[in-house]
Amino acid sequence: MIRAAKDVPGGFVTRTEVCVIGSGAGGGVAAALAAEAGRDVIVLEEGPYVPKEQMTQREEEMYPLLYRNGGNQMTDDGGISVLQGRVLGGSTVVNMADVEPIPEAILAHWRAHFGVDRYGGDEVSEAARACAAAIGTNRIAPEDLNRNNALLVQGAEKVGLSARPFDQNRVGCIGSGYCLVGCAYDAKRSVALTWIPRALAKGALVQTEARVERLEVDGTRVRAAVGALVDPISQRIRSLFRVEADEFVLAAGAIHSPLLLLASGIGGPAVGRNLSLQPQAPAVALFRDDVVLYRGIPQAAFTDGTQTATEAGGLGGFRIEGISATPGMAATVTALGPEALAMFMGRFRQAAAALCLVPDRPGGRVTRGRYNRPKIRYTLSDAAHATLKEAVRTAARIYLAAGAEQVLLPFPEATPVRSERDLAQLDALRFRSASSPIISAHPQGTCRMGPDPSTSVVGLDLKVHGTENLRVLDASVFPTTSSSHTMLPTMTFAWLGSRDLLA
Amino acid sequence: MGAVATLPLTRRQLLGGGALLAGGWVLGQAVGHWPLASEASPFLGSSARHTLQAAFEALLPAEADAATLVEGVDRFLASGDPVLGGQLRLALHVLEHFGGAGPFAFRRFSRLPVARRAAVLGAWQRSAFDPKRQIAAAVRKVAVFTWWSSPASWPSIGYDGPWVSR
Repeated sequence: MIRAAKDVPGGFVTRTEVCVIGSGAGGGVAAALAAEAGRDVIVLEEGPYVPKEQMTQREEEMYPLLYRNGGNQMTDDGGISVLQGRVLGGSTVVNMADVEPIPEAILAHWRAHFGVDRYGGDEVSEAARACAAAIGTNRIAPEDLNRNNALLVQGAEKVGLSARPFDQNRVGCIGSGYCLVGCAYDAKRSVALTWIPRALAKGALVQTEARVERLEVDGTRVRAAVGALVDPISQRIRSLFRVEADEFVLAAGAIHSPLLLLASGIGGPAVGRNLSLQPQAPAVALFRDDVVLYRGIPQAAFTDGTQTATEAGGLGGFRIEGISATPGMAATVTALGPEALAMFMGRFRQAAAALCLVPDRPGGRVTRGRYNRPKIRYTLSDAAHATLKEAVRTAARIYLAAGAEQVLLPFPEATPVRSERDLAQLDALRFRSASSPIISAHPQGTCRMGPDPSTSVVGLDLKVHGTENLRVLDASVFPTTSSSHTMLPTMTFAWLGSRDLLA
Repeated sequence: MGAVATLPLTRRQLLGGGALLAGGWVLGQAVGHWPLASEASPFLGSSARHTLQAAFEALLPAEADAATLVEGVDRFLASGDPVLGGQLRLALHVLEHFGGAGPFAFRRFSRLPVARRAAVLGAWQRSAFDPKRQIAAAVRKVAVFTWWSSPASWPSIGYDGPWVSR
């Protein structure tokens, strides 16, 4: 059963065997596996349940409904927009449906540098295969690339790079292009359409619009999750709840899982530290004829080979990935002044766009701010800054090679790039917070796993250090950035952690 | 030697104190206007709403009806997250009282000519001072998202809108 806040106007107090906090890529997997193992399961999700009939494809309606802070969650300095879903199914409802496993070299990196050796490569691969199958993973066919993504592939080949289509979890996609504001056709096989129904079929209770404020801890055991049932848009409190359980799974994501641990006074000194954001900067090009980037599969191709994965250094380099946006979001993620923006939007149909993604090193931190809200502290390191600029330079070259009239760089001071010569200006430009439009969709690392409680938050079994019955099963456990896209890695470790929980 | 000569203050300290007092006065003006929600303005209050409209006029094409758009933003904020809305309201008050300040003159942001307002927002977007960039970014984001996500803007950009209603 799925229950909203209005269904329990007086709040509730209950007891269960497994309480799962969060219903995204981690929580959904844990809920399904626990329910299928015969456990009594309650899922607490802060966002609402939004079925396809309510997906209107209107930005001003869907961002407030589906995203945390309506899509306005920012780092403390206003520099990076951290996009996260806050809806039943979590970010898997609003992501670009890209399915990427954890590279073997990254697992080796974690083993060598962080002592993460509990799960062998075969176990991880088996879990990844099971999770990928559960969400209908398939490779995007080259003929399904829209012109925006096809231009990226063509341009990349002309500058000597290769680009290829993503693996995706869309089935029966009709190419409307509205992935970012929720699929109105149930083609994107999000957690809300895959793992959650499995949990529901085995009797799990899903309570939406339930914001967990803290965990009640008694010695080494978590006794209860307490919080408020809230209005999904205004966040105003309607009533209160308390859920006691034998086992707790925390899967609120890399920003809110550490926040809850901090609010509960558990987890140790490493809670909230080691945040990676994988910053992404847009590169936009204008062509002579129509591109219509907002139709078709939005993010379908990426540069292959510009990113590295090594045992010594983890994930490095950069990626350039095709991207689309509806008009409001497209206007927001440029750095253009009023006149230039009006010109750009006037040629919206001729625009092509890509995101330049850099797998950064852990360095940010989540702390508790006012009103128990997260404070996301993050500074772009010199290395990430240089790599991001190199990625933007490469994207501009790709577009010029593909025949673009001009490329617009993500700096307010930049002039349009019409030839390779114009790229020299990049040497003097710097990304500055709240000036260049940088986004993040893959926060990780703030409840790092590891054997040492002074440098990690969860042990190798994914239990919070010093607790017996609380596991973190989301992207916050990764010691360093796990992959360019975190949905499948998160599911993989949630699968492994759930298996341990149920053993 | 008069009394002034006995004051343990340098000229730099005196100027600094004067600047602090002036800054305090302007900040007091800003805080004094907050909150000002009224029946006509369900969340922002008339002062912040006036500032937001002035910013919309500076940032958006002439065909955008700034007054109507701002009315919609105000209604949305009234039903939305009060913390986020409060941050925007504070940003608008700072913009109003500091956006028009120059070395020899002080004018409220909303009383500047449209072109000057656009220049101020552009300068704040490129400023070396972090809070200025944050305020400019927040106001710009609200303005451009509100206009370009509204159907009124779509004919001019050739966007044919959602598929679900077809």
